[in-house]
Amino acid sequence: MTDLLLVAQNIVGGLGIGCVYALIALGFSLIYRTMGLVNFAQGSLLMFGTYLGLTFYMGLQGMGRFSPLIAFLAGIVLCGTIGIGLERLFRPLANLDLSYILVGTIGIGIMLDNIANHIWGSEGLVVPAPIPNHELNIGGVRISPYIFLVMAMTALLVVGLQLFLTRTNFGRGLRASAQDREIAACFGIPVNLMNAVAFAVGAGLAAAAGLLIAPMVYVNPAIGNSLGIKGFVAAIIGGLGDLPGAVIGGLLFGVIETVISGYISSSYTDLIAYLLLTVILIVRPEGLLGARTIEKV
Amino acid sequence: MSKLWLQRWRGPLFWLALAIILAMLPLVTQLDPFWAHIVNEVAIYVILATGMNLVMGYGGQINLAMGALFGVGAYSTAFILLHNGNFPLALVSSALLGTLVATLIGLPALRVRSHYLALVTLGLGIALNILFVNWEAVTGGAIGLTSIPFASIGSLPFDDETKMSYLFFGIMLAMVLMAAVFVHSRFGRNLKAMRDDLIAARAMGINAAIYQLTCFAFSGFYAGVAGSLYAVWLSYISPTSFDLNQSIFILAQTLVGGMGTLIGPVIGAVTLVGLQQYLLSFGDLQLIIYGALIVVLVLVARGGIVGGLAALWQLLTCRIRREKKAAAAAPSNHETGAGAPATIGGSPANGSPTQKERMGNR
Repeated sequence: MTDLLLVAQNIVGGLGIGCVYALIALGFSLIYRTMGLVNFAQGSLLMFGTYLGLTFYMGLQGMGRFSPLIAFLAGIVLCGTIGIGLERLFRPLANLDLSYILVGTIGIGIMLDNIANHIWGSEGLVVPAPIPNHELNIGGVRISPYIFLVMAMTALLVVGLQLFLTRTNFGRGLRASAQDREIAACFGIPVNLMNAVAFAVGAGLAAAAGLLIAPMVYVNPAIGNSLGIKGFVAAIIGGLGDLPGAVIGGLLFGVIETVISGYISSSYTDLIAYLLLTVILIVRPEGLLGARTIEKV
Repeated sequence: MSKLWLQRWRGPLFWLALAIILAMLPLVTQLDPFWAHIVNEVAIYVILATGMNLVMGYGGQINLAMGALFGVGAYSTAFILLHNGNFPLALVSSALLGTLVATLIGLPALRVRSHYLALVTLGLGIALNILFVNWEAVTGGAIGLTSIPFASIGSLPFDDETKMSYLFFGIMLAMVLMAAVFVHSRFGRNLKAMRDDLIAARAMGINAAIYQLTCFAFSGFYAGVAGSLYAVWLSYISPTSFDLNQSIFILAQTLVGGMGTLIGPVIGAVTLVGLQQYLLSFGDLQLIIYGALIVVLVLVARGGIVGGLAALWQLLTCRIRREKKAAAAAPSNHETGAGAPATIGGSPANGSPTQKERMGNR
């Protein structure tokens, strides 16, 4: 019986962290789908957005303290603005070989990491949870209520993104330019603006992910490295460029990771996760859910 | 017949001559420890970037586990030397172990491509790094291994930077020369054919799988040798030196120098290591400027420094040729050719510019 409870606890915890991976993966997939560029600076953007949001939330750098919601939105918007600037910079990269994209975007990542280091310092931050965080006991399963807040916010963001993409003219334009740049341009859609919007949304999602996970971890300028890679893993599992796939991939990876660390070994968690990923990709080279993968040529 | 022989061996012979000339350099100049230190660092990165170039520039694959393979080499040398082995044995076993591990990492590459391959090699590199951190009995864990003995061959010790620079420089030259021979061999030519058009190469009867695996194996061999040198150079190693950033640093050197050329990784390693040394004086801002410069270099010089120089050379020679041709009142079709100038034979009159480019020294 306790075994079953432990499984439930692991799964809920995994879904919580999986939500964060899902948001990062969405950013990867959205940018890849519209620009054909894998933004390896996504992890650094996440870190930067997190610090920007926390500046308002915790009153860093002489800033006043704001309510968590305002700080959350401020982090997203500011990080999105940086994303717009990066899109302009990365535009010439999108048509190049993957290795150029890698080094170019990671170069930006190195810059962001060290700018953050310069501004906020390299010593970490402990972030208080925005809601009272006493462990709940639901039928023997002990869960921190903050996880539910993470899930709710993620759901809100995912649904919001979906509505934006399907119900607004802007979103439709974005999808059209992702589908076929030239034809979209012929219909008068400003494709470069669309790319910029996609990049901004991707960056904003990364900031949201970072701010959501901040109370659960120790925030420091290197926080984006492993989170960025795991978000990329989630995007690949879901099939790069596939938005619903990214969400499923994120949740799946979160659960797998938590189960491994709970049952097999916590210090070898990542090792096992990456080996598993390799096996998955050998069996299904297009990703686990990759039947609908969009191939950008 | 003799002409064909010359054509075939022109590349390696050129490199051999260059190597002999360069090998004289440390003998005539007595390097002070500071410069010897930099020469040693450059030598290690030249080996790494050359290995990376073999798998990426010639093999057309992506290997982001290079930093971790470097670590495999370093740890095996450290382990053997700390257990009273001798340096030649350690060097050879580092190279072999690097080759073996790289081959294993290359296995998924037979099925997985592009972004997916990038992720697989990246993930396996991270997995190896986690192993370095956690396998404390062999690797010393997160703290790493300290007081690794200096290299010595027989009774000849390499116990200071200057002495090491002879050894490192010599091994570096041998490794670059080996790459030159490899690239100009039948194997290398087939590899280039595969990189430019996989399907056509397969149709010509090239077994792609073996070639891809060999590329990975070679990159591991280079990483293993470089790692071995690294261990005896600093006599201290820890997992942070062998992470993803290291792979990216090596990749950046290859790109900045010029991928798919032999001299490119050499120039790239010298440039970026030199840049890093220079930026040390900027203190806190060092890495910010460094990141910005890498982005600029990648955005501006597409073919790397070598590509840029080649394009410039092409531009200059084209202008001269055009003037000559204008004098002879003949139309020129070389105006737009921007690739590297052809250095391997082929009759210039028959080949179209694109063909020449492909056969050129890439």
